Amino acid sequence: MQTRAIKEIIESITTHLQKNKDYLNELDRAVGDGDHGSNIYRGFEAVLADSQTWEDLNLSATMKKIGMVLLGKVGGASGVLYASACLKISQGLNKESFNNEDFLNAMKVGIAEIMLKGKSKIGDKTMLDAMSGFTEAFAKKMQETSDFYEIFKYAVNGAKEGDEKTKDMVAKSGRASYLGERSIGHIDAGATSFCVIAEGILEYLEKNRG
Amino acid sequence: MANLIVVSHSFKLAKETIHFAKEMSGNKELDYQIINASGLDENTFGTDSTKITASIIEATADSEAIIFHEIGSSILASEMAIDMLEDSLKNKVILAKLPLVESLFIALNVNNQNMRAVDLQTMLISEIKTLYGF
Repeated sequence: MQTRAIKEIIESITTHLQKNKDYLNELDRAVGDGDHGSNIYRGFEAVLADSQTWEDLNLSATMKKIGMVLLGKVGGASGVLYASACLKISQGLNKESFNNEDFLNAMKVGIAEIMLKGKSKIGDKTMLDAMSGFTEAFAKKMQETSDFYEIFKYAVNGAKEGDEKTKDMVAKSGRASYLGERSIGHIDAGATSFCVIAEGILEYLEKNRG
Repeated sequence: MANLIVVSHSFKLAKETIHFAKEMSGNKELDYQIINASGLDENTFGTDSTKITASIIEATADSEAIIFHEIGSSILASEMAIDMLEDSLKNKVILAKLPLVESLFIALNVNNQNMRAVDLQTMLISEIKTLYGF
């Protein structure tokens, strides 16, 4: 049951990435080599194909498998970073139930791991800016409601705000940092792809409400 | 004792760099094992930590290993590959942290498998400093 839900979430993410692949490539082309959309889409496509083998796996093992596939198939830094987050998060998923608090903690663990592995911080014009916007909004909305869909929807807006903020930032991490001040005016493709992934999950939640 | 692993985004670039370094060192019998752990596949640019991990395991079976890489995710993916190793293997491998073509070229000319990975790296740093007058 659980693995079927995750498979459907991955399906939704992959569909969203497919639709936004060219746009993400275009964003990346402004400051990088223009393959971010294709890379991240290829990774999730491979995760979806791998989901055939998830039968009987628990949440932790599934998360680990997702991480390992992303590690091998994305090909760029974003793949290693998402994979490292998945692998780290998987270590803390060894219980039956999973509540809003657990989800928030998993996001925090993922962000900390990406900061560590990527040697970057919030404000460096990376995926972290969208992820931290998401997480802050998630924590805020949790004070008001326990409805996961409502919280998640609010958090996706937080991610988008974080993504938008990268436009005015100077890139401090990755290849875009070679451009220095000239990176200002461009939205970070990694931050945007996180938003696309989050929107994919949101669409799944929307369809499966109640 | 150290074997050599090459991690580039491009399999073909790494293949040609290895070919070039071999030719330029006189195609002599090599002490080292050289493994090309580059690209997502032969035609797709990218780096694959799982492939790098497998290469490190192979290279460190009876020796240490040193990874020759270029920029960006070739470093990140190599670090991640080392992270995924069992603890007993982690201290048998290092990243060269040097320019790929120059360092591989010099390493093959040195061709001394009796050097430990860290000593080979120290020597390469010194040679590259001399090469460019740093």
